[in-house]
Amino acid sequence: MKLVVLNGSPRGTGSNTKILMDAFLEGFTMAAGAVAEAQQLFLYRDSDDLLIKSFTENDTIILAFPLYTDSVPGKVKYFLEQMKDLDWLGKRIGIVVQSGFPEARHTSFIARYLERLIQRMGAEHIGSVTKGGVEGIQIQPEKWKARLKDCFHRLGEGVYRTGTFDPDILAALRKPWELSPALRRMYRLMSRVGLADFYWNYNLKKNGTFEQRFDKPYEREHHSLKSSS
Amino acid sequence: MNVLVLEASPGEVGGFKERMDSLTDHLTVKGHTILRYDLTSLDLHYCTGCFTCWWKTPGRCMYKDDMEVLYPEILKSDLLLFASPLVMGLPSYLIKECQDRLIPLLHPYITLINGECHHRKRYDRYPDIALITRKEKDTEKEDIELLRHLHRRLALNFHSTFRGVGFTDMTNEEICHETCCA
Repeated sequence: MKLVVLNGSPRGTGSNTKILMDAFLEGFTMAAGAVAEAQQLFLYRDSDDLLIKSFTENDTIILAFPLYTDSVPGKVKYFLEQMKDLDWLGKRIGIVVQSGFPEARHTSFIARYLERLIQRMGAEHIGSVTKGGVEGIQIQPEKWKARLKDCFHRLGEGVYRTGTFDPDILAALRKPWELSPALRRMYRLMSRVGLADFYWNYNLKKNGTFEQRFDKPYEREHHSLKSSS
Repeated sequence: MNVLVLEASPGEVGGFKERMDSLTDHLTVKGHTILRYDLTSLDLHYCTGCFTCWWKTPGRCMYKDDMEVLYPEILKSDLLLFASPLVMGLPSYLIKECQDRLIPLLHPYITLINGECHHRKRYDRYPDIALITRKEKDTEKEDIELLRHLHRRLALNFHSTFRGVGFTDMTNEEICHETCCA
């Protein structure tokens, strides 16, 4: 088995996606020993040539990215366009969509699109991770982060052993799919006392921009095109 | 109605631009004001997820490129019309890179819409969103449904309404009907 993780995060080597996929690759490599190859490439850093080569040469491809406007980041779409005329037959493709929203449901629309595309191109879909709450790992206790990494580690092991994503791990990662009425009430309460936006306020205050947080800079501005058109 | 058309058909030989000429002429005749930009000739960086616009210079993107022209125009428009042929089931990556750059128009704070978390508004109003596109040879009903879903979600994130999809094989009047441009 030759596996490549294609990391579609604009934050690249500093991305939350990389934290998750490093754990995945660790699990995969530990299970595989010396008999399988695995690597991670970055869509926002590596050249088109290298990415096309990796798509062609690997039998198992994991496309992992953060959710941007409930869809793929622009460069992931660019990558898919570059792969249009390549041979997808026999490729085994897994999808990892992670988002900052606490509920995983946001990630389901683009996952469905990609599953359909994989089918359309004649490749085999080995599963989709749809995971919410990932931006939060920036401020989460190490113990929580370790639990999440362990899930991805086991997911990687499973891909080596069975060739697919373990459905039980996928089900665990999907939680919560939506906010339950109790969670919604808790969220509203946290909003009222200012706790829901702790992460944003912490960073706004750190940058000394808390008082400007409601600025509307583009309301009355006028600029001219930088380009010649 | 003020219609802002953001268009991208890179490497196009199939006459997409000419089709858009005809549609925008039609909309002008109907009394709408059209402002049209071709994203292939603009200087647009992609979003790097740096959050400068959310916590370093609230509301303002760190990139000083042609989005600075588009942001005020977007806020002034009533309808934001994305126009691009489908490639691999979705409009051009240039359209997506531009959509990714819309996040400075939102606030980082979270609000619940229908019980679901979304970023709250930064501005009082946002334009409706619609899409003009061209099907691929193998585009099926299910692909169109997914396309609609993804654009409805885009609109939901921007406190906007998705008006619908118009396809290049429709008449101008049919496109107006599909995207509610009476």
